[in-house]
Amino acid sequence: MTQRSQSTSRTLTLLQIMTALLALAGLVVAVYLASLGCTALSDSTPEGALRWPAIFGLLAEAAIVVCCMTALVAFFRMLGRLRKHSAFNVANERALGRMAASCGIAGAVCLAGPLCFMGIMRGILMRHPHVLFGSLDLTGCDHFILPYVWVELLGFLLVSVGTICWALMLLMRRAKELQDENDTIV
Amino acid sequence: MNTTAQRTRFVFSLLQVLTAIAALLVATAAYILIRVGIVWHFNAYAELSHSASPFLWIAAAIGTVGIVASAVCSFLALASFFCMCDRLKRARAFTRPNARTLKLIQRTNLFSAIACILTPILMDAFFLLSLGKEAGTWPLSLTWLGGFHWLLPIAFLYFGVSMAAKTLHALLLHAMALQEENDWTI
Repeated sequence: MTQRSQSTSRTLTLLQIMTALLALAGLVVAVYLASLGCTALSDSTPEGALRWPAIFGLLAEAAIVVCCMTALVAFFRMLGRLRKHSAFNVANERALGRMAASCGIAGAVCLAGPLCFMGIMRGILMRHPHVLFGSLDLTGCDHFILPYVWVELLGFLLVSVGTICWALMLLMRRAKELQDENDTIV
Repeated sequence: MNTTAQRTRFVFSLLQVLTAIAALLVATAAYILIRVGIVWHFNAYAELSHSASPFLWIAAAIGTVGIVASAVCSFLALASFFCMCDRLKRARAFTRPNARTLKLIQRTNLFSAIACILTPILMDAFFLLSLGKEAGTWPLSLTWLGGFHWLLPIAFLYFGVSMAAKTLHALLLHAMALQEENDWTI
């Protein structure tokens, strides 16, 4: 094995470790957010006002987690294939396509989710102006808006990653065509 | 123009738009990190130690230089990525300028990652030194929840991008070799 391919192999292994760490960190954050959602589901407020927003939030979070995990697993497996020197093939092209679709869906949910959530909360406040939201201080606008900004940023990041995967898929297709042409001529 | 070429053009145009938005976000993040992470902490520590000691000024200077250096490197990487997308749109995928760009992206992101790891560590050390005899009153919550510690997860992100750029560089070299072989055969 040449020095360059050894270095590439090391980089790919490092990327696999980072992918696993990212998946773990993502799961920890998801479990923490889900526990917050479950607390809202058990709902200390009168009339169970927070139940529907909590269910909506949990469903959106589940969709995001499933999509992100699909993308990370596809990426992890693709890195494994790349380490075995099979760079331009149909499996990798499909993996990139799957990652692009997963990241795109997760990004769309992240971008649209907070807006829908804010709409639902606004509806609840209009219908039940007397409802107390416990620790949620709706008058302190900064605390109310800030988590949504984070989710929107995550959405932007996921859409960007999805677009990069899409671009790489198109480039990989072109490289595969070149390789096939080369093999045919040889 | 066929569908694949149109799609490629669209994807890379979208990536250019996303790059421009990312540049805007980097500038905003750098401003917030300097304003909240450094200025706010400077004032808080000055109040704790009853004066603005030289160590405090050094910590603020290190923080500002670290954040500005990371932001400049990010802008450099984003600008070169923007130009690369322009070249890729014109269907020149596997070329030396693109390989050079990926190498530049890899190096600038690695530098940013190192800056993002060193800055909070050095800032913490100097903040602690600035307290002097009051070191026993070092407020852990003030330091560890401080804005500039966001640089550590950002470093992970930079490092991941750097490793991905290194892998793509290796793949691009492989594709370039294929293309050259193909051209020679023809």
